[in-house]
Amino acid sequence: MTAISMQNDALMQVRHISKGFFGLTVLRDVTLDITEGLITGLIGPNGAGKSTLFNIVSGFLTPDEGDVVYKGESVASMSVAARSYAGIVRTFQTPQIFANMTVRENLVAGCHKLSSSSFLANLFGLPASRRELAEMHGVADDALRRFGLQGIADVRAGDLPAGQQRLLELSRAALAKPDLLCLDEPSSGLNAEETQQLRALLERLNAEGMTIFLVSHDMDLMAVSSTVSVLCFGEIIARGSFAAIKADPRVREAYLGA
Amino acid sequence: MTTTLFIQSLLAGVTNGCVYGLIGLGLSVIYRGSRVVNAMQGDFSLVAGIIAYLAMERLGAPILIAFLGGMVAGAIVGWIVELLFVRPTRKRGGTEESFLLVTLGGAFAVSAAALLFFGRDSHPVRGLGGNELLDVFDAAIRVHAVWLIVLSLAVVVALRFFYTRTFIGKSIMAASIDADGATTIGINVPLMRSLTFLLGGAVGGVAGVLVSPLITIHYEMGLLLTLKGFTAAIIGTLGNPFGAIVGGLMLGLVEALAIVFVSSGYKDVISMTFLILIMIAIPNGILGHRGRAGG
Repeated sequence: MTAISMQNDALMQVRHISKGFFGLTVLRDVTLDITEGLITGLIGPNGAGKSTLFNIVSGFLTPDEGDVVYKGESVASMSVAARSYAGIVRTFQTPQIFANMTVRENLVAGCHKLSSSSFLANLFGLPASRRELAEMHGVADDALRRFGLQGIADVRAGDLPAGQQRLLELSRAALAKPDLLCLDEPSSGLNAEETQQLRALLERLNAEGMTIFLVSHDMDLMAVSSTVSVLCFGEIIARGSFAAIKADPRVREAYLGA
Repeated sequence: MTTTLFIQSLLAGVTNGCVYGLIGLGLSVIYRGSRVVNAMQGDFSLVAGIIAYLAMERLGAPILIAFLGGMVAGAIVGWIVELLFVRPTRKRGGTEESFLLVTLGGAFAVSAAALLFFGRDSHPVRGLGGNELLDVFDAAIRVHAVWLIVLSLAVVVALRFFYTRTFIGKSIMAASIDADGATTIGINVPLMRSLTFLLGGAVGGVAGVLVSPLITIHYEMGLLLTLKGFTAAIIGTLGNPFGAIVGGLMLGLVEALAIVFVSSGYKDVISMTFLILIMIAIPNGILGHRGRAGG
């Protein structure tokens, strides 16, 4: 097994996490670093506990034991919305877009954290809130261009094909000012060309300074990761560069089936 | 049938239709924002009517202050219902059916409380413009009814503005369509649901203070209003507030014409038959499935 060592430049430290459901242990003493400024990957066969770990990192589940430390502070008991304000934003295996809103409206909603005007100012459409909304539309328009969504800006999000829904969800998450962007199987349902575009997009976001935690079974996409951890039956069995992981016989046996 | 009688029935139909529409509007606001079919919507109106009545008759408050007090009371009751009944039910994994049953129970409780504290008698409430009448092609309409129509339309326009032009309106929609997606971009979903009930309660309150001068306040009026408002909301595609007003107007006009052409005794039979026929012909309401998806 590749040595697991805690790094000082970790944006998030997952420490000795254990989690079980109905007496069945899904995660056992999992420790993992997500290094600031890099893409950290997590792979594992079906049922390895990837989604459970991902949900604990993003706040949708609380661990039975262990801690999640983000920017030096424990966030294990923090709500999802509070984590979002702290900079942890996630996407979902099935894109959770606002289906009955247009692409532009989805992106405007993604600017939620930019809002500072009061409820009453919003309710009565006072000038401060109108100015703020205009600014958010500006940010959304920039994002439309940046992520190549201009052509579908006014299309109802629920009518988009899977690939564009995923791109929209990712764009919306990127607008939510994440310091740590957590992506759950982002290439699921995408064809080879779309996966390549996604890979380029992740590299671009990472180059702009966004730390990314990537959970995927797609080895082509996983190649963007600086470090990859392998989860198997609830335990981390290896960690290292993508090339090292790919060559690790134990990983090949457990995950790649070779 | 004379032209005057026809116009008179049209005016009555539009007035009643606006009331049904306002109740349906409140129902739709709450369904749109929280996926709860709220059987207490008419009771928000009952509470608002009682508060307005007490403010005017016991405290001598001016009518506008009393009406405002009624609206605020409706909003507060809405907020309390979300906090005490809906939120705990949701936390325990409640479904749409559970919410309906919980709020139905709440509706009977409010009705019983009104009976206990307010008595069995009907209480007349002063309206805007007192009992003055306006002449419309020899037909008569109360000045208050004209205010009711105007204010109902103003509420619709204000809500449209709220949902399409304000950031908080969009956040409420986002939280309703996809709670998980909304929460991860920082939207406080429970707060949005509370605001939804606050808003729905306020709309119910407006309906209550506006309808009370026309029908007098009675402890059973809540459930009756809910039923009519629900019909309006269903016809107008549940979850679409603007459809609710259209549905309310359709229902009010069908009722009014039924009274003229058939008999007042068959008013409810005909309006409910109308609902059934609409449901068979267009099960998702007049605005179709997209309208229902709301959000």
